[in-house]
Amino acid sequence: MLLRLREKLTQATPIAPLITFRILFGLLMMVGAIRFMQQGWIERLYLQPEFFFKYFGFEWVQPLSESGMYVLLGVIALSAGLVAVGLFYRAAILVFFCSFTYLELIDATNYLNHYYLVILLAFLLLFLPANRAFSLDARLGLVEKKSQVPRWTILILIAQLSIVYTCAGIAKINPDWLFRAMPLKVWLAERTELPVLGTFFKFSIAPYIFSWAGMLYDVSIAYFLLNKKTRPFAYLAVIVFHLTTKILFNIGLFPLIMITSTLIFFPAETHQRLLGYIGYKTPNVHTSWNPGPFVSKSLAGIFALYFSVQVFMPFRHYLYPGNVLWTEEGYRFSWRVMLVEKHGMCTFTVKDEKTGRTQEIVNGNYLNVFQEKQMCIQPDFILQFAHHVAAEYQTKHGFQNPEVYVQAYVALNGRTSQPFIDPKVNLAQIKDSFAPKSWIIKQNF
Amino acid sequence: MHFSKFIFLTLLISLFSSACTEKTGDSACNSTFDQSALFSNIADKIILPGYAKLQTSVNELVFAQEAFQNTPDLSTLSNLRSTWHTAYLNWQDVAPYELGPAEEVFLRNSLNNFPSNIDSIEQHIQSGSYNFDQPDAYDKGFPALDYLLYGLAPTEQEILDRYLNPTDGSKYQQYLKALVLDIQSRVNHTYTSWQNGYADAFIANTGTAAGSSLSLLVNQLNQHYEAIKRDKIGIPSGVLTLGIPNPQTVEARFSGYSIELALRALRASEQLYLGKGLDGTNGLGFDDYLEAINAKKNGNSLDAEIHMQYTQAIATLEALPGPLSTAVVDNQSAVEQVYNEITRQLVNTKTDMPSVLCVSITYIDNPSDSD
Repeated sequence: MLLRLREKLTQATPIAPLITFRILFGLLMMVGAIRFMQQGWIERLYLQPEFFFKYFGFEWVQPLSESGMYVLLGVIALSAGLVAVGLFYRAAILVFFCSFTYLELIDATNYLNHYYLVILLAFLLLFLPANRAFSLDARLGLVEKKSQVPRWTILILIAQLSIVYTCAGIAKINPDWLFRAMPLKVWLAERTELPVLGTFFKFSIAPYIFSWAGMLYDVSIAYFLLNKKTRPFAYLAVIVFHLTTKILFNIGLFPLIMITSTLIFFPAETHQRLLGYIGYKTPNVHTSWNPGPFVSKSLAGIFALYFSVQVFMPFRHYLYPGNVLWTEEGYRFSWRVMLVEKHGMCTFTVKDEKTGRTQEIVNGNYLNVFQEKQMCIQPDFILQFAHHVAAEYQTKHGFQNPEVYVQAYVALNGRTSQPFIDPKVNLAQIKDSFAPKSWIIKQNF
Repeated sequence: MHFSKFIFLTLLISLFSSACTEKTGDSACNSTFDQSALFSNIADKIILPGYAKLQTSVNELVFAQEAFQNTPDLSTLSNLRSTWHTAYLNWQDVAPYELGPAEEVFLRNSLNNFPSNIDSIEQHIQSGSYNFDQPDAYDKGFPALDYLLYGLAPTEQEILDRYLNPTDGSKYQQYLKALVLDIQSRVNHTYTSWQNGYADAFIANTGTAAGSSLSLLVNQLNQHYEAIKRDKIGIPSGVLTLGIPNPQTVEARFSGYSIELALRALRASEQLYLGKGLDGTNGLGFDDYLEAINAKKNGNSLDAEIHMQYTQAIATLEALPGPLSTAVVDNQSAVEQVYNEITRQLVNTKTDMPSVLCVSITYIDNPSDSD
């Protein structure tokens, strides 16, 4: 049986789906990087703030100077463009992966699931021979042209997208989403001015329909895309679903990323036809790209590990007590998309151990409004900020062992607020880790 | 085949689920509460009469300034002071409404950035060159007048002498005039715009989206309230500076009206919340909205909680012996108590209210995409 599986995975298949994927991914990422610069987000997100929230283990990642940030975004755009045209592909996708990841690591405030997805797709593309046809690399003879690739090169992208959808769907199976239609009830009510759809949102049943439809779409779409009979309908659903989210929410390029990426589910003939419109000629003689036995074995190991992690991450929140929507422990990197509407407030106090003097902190002196909003609803940010305050008061104000406390309240999904963090815990003494955070006050929802 | 089944199932389950939840009385977000009636009460009974009153008193302030410039004596100075005092109090009534026309002219910052930067004011006076269009500057509005009318010297006579000084007295008169005229032009712009169309637009702007009147009001209620907490009480009290009080930072530092002004500001916040008109009539306010959607906090009425906390904060502040600049030094724990009572409200208005009313609280637009 394992042999059969291996046979299936290594079976030669036309390279066309990978080509489509490479071109569209590269183009979208290039547009995304240019848009990022044009919107003035470099200034607002990376130059104006004085303090940045970090990912655990990546505290060393720092923002660059103004010109440095523009160079970084320029490198992202350029490398994405090179990926699209398939020039110096291996180097380009590696540079893209590193520069884009660096950008995202600078400030965790800006975490978005679709940026994370971009990083994962770029990582997978590192290993794929997506430049072996219809690329400048192949035309210039920098790599040997191939018309076929082993099936796994396409299957890993399909697997990745299937995990995203399915886990996003499973995450929606929670009481707030299904039985209170939260937070869609809040968000749809904000869009009643939309033509046609807006009129519909005025009905109290609308958010329930959207919640349930969204959940069912997410959990089942991968299955329907895999199934040959349902695929055309499913793809139509993909387009309708993502265009609807594009109209309703401020989610940038994400809908386009999904609409283009899911083309990978279609058979090679579809891609050959599509690429035919832009001059791709399906070769008559077949040449297959195949990695050597050592590389194959290494790749098998890498992907086995990779996909184990991918399947583990969305469910790791079960290792923590309490509702993940409230505690946010295990919330990121798990395809929890648009699940919460939170209003938070957090007031820090710093105390000098020696003199006993206390002082309230004005968050705005260190953070911009968006960072403060994000901080007050995420415990690891609250902790990072507390440590920052402690360090500031130790160095700048000569505090001895400064103690930092927080009064934090969060209102989740249309409820009234509840206390969020234990106000008696000296956060300056708490070390961040992946262990459950006992200082989060658990709530019964 | 599969797909049509899937759609059918979706619809069926949705219908079923919403039918079930309807019974639990979770009315948040889709209340039938008449927002337009709320907005028109706030516009017609609070904002418009508030600006009218402010405009009248600012006009009187300008007249009094002219009179003082023409005939500088103790009586015109005293009259100028009292018109300033009245206008300053009337300003507090409309301070929560930094939206639309007021926002266009930075009304809140232009009229009441405090504490004033005395050095910068003196520099402007001597050089005769200044620009009041910088919202971040602390050289204008009522606080600058507080300095010019009360802070130039210890006694009224000595202050008058400052204006009569043959070398630079006229420069002080000039700055005084510039200050009151700047206030007047900004107030006029705001009130005129409200009368000519903005009020109608404001009342018609229903919904819960960012930029809707509901969202603007909730945002402004909170920003105004936070300014009371931080600027009027917090900074002077020392809670933000290691417990070391900063008496020189109180509002109306030289005239000593700090507590009176802060009280008026707190009451203005409460008025907005209750929808209480300037004439004392109680119309539609956020209290009625919260009751209409039956908002509960820990089993109790959220409205009752907010109402009680306003009463409590106002009572504690009222009981504080003034002036505030003295109280923060001699009576620090009492001031801290005031601060705590004021602070206690914030969680209700800043997290609970927007949450149950389903408005997004955005001090600025989200800088980036969301997902």
